[in-house]
Amino acid sequence: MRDIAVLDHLPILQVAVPLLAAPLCVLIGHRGFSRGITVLVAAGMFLISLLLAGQVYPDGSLHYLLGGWPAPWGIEYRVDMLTVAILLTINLVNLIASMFSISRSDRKFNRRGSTAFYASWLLCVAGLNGMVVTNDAFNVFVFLEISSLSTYVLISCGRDPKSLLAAYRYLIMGAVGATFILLSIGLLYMQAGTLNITDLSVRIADQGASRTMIMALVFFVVGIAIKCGIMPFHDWLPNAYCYAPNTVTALLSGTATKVAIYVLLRFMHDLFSVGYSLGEMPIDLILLACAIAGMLIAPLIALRESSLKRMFAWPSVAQISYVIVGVCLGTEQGVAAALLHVFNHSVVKVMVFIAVGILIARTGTDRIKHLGSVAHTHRLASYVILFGGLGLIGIPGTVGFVSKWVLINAAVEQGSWWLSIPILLGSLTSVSYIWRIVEILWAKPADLDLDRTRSPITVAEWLPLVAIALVTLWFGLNASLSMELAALAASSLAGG
Amino acid sequence: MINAPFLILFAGAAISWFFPAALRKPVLLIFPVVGLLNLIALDPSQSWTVSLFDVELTLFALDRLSFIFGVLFHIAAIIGLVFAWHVEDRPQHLASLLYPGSALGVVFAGDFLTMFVFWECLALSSVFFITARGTERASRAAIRYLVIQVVSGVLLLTGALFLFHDSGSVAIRALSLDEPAGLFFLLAFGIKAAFPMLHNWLTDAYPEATASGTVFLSAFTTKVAVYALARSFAGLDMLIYIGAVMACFPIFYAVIENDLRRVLGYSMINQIGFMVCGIGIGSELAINGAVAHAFNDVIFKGLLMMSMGAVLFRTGEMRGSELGGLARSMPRTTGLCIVGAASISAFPLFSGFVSKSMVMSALLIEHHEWVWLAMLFASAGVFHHAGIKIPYFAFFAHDSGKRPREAPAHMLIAMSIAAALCIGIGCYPWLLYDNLPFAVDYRPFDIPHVVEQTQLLFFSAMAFIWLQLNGLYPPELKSTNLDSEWLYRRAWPSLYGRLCRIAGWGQARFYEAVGSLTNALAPPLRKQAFLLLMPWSVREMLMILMILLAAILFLLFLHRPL
Repeated sequence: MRDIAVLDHLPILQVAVPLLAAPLCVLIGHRGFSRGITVLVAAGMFLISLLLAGQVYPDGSLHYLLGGWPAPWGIEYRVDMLTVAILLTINLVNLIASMFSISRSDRKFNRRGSTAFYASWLLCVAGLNGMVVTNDAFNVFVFLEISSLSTYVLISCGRDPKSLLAAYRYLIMGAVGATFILLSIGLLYMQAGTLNITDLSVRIADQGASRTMIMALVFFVVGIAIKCGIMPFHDWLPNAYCYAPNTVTALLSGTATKVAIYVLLRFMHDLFSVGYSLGEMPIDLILLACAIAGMLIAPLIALRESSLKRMFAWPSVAQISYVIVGVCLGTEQGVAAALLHVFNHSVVKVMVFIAVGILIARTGTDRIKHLGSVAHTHRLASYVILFGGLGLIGIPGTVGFVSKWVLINAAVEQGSWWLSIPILLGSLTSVSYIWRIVEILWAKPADLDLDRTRSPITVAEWLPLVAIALVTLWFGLNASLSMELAALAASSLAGG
Repeated sequence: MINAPFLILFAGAAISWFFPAALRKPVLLIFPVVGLLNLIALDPSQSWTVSLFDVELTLFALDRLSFIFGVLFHIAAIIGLVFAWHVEDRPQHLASLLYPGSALGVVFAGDFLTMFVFWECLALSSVFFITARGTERASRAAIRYLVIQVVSGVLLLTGALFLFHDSGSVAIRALSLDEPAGLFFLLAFGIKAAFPMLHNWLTDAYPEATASGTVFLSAFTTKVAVYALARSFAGLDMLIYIGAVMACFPIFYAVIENDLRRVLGYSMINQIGFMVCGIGIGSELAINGAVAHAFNDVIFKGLLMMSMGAVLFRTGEMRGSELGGLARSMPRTTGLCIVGAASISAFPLFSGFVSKSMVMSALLIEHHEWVWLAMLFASAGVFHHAGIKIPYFAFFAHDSGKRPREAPAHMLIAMSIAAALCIGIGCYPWLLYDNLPFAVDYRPFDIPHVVEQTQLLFFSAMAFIWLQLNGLYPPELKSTNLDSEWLYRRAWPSLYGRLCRIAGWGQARFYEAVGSLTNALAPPLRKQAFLLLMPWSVREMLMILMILLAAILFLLFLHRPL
């Protein structure tokens, strides 16, 4: 049969479309075209994710063989509910962020040539999607490098010269992390002689524990912990988020660390199997200690930050810790809670960073102390920041509450009720820095000449902002859809 | 249910808002009177439930236990309002209805969530009585008070959530310490009931409130906690011993304390000790005794607080060392104070006697002889510090030369109502007994009780006189006595400061040591800030990474040697 049905090739299209669009940007070299195609590709990718979701819902899985080579030899792409859940999250974020990226807010970053910027953007997205759909360990590394390298470029496009240093710091740490992951994959290959994740898990289970396995596990966990930004491995993150262009911050905060979490889940639960990584090996204890430190310390640091963007980078460290707690519980509810929090945090963070971007573009500063009373002239952005802040705290009625509630329930269910103490304590401390922002934005006397900062808000700014705010509002008030998806995704993982 | 007791008082607070200060006072007074009549007329089978999501909330439920507390709180509100007739400011006026209203809300709540809401209202409304004093000291004490009260509420909420998670219902019921919720509830109630080591908010905040504010404060918060304990923890053995400790340890503080209202604060903890002990015994007689004693305590402690409030109102002074000899110009206040003192010391024919002896008898019936002895000691101690010390140092003792005018008429009226109740209940206890939660078959005025109590009082009085004559009695000094609140007001801050300094020093030494060992490996010495708060250099990040990698590897190999 020569007739090619597009719907059969969705898994590869998810990666191939942005991968091919990237060189197209450079070849055509037209700024408007680059912008247009980035948004179009983002919309298309979100559509593809939706179609994929339709194909595997409620508990199916797709196995796509590249070039028709059968699984252990050829490269296999696998799509199940977990994949779909992450794909939907990152492609929604990408759609929103790319819409924002064409706005005037970030005009200044692309004086170095927006075609290259958008090519990097597309490559980054392609890499992230590739990490999610592939079922091949080495392929994970390749896509990781694609997304990381393009991310360094994106970060270095920031207005502030310090963005170069931030990108360089991330480059060093990211390269070390990627190398660790590569080492881990190499050790696994040495041990089992295969790279297909499903095949690997079967063979590893047959061979039993060995030193090579322990080394592989440790290198993997440390490497991916850097990518996730878990507490003591996090220090590249605040500067990267702070000095990157506003749109890039929005994109990164909602996608990069989330995909790393996905890889962590895949490897720990599928490849190494839960019984080994969390049961025999005390990885869960190590990660839990990191996570608890993260959720308690990060808000305190945020409280001291003087830059608005840096301040909102710290909640990412804190919120990833909540996700890690869910992952470490090792139960299906734990994973479901983690996935729900991944989604909820992604949408909140994109929303907040877009609002912050709008505010910074208008006022020309991100020093918190100079932002007194700007809420009175920039109402939309300020209220969205407030709304996002409430979500980060976890006020009932926001998405943050839903996932923290589910997470606490999962912890109690698993018997670790004491985990609810740091979770609640962390949420409580978050109140302090959100309150500080609220006080300054609304109550502090104006420092800037507010009338001069007034300028109309464009469609490319308010459309993505309002859209993501409505999504956030909806999933905060009615979480049945997101909870069902997370539960299905978690069961697909536990089911192997 | 428009006639729920708390609604009447809350409505009163709302309505009185619109009246000018002069008219507001009579308006305020109407509502507790109406509320009391309404409560007496209420049909006991009535209840008011609402559904919130999937939780059934009972905003109002009435039984014999809540009824007697309801009556008590109405009476206390009326007396307090009369006493506070001179007060003009709106916050105190509103609080004087909102606070009793919240207490009634707790008492008539049918589930723990409703209880939590009123529990927090209780904390928030009462703090106005302390801030109204207007001094820096008072507002600091108010903040400490509020923090502790709100923590109690949060513990209560936590307990309620645990309960809901376990059983799907938050209805008020007897609890045990075997379930996780029980511990949270006990702590929440324990803070409000001023359990030992949790009691500091009381002796800290009550002496700082306004003259009339302390009268209100002393009536409600702790008694609400006694009610909650009686509801949920009746018969918990631990409470007997907690009660005994509560009854005994404040005596020592009360004897050396100079601020007379703080003396009364300690004596309040002592009296609550009797109630907690009775609840811990759990027999019908003991519960009756605890409840009756709570009832009487509100009246006679209120009376003592009012007499001290009158002294404070007239002289602006509350230190025993600065007072004395006031009996010459305030004879009526002196007389009424002595009635209160006689009641708290449990003289026969005064109200304290008829209720305290119930708890004492219950102790003997249930064979807690040692605790009984401790309580006997506590009774003697009460007579010492509340029965003799308060009136003696305020109104007699050395003459301070102060000649204030007699207390204003409204204060005298309020005190007279309370004194009448003290004597009335003391002479005709069945007035109270008939309304207790369980049927009472107890005779207070038989020979052994009367003789035992009279002996006790006689010998304590002898001891006081002998100590005073020989100059052995602790003199009234202008000093500050250390209680366990020292732990969080002095020791912890100074310890924390010291720990920070030591940590900073240690960190600096550590870096110095590492730095001098290997310059290449050491992160540079940074004195200014906590390690995590500053951005690390790439070298530091990689160092930390390598150390952690090595540590994790080591840990895993240790965990599973191959």
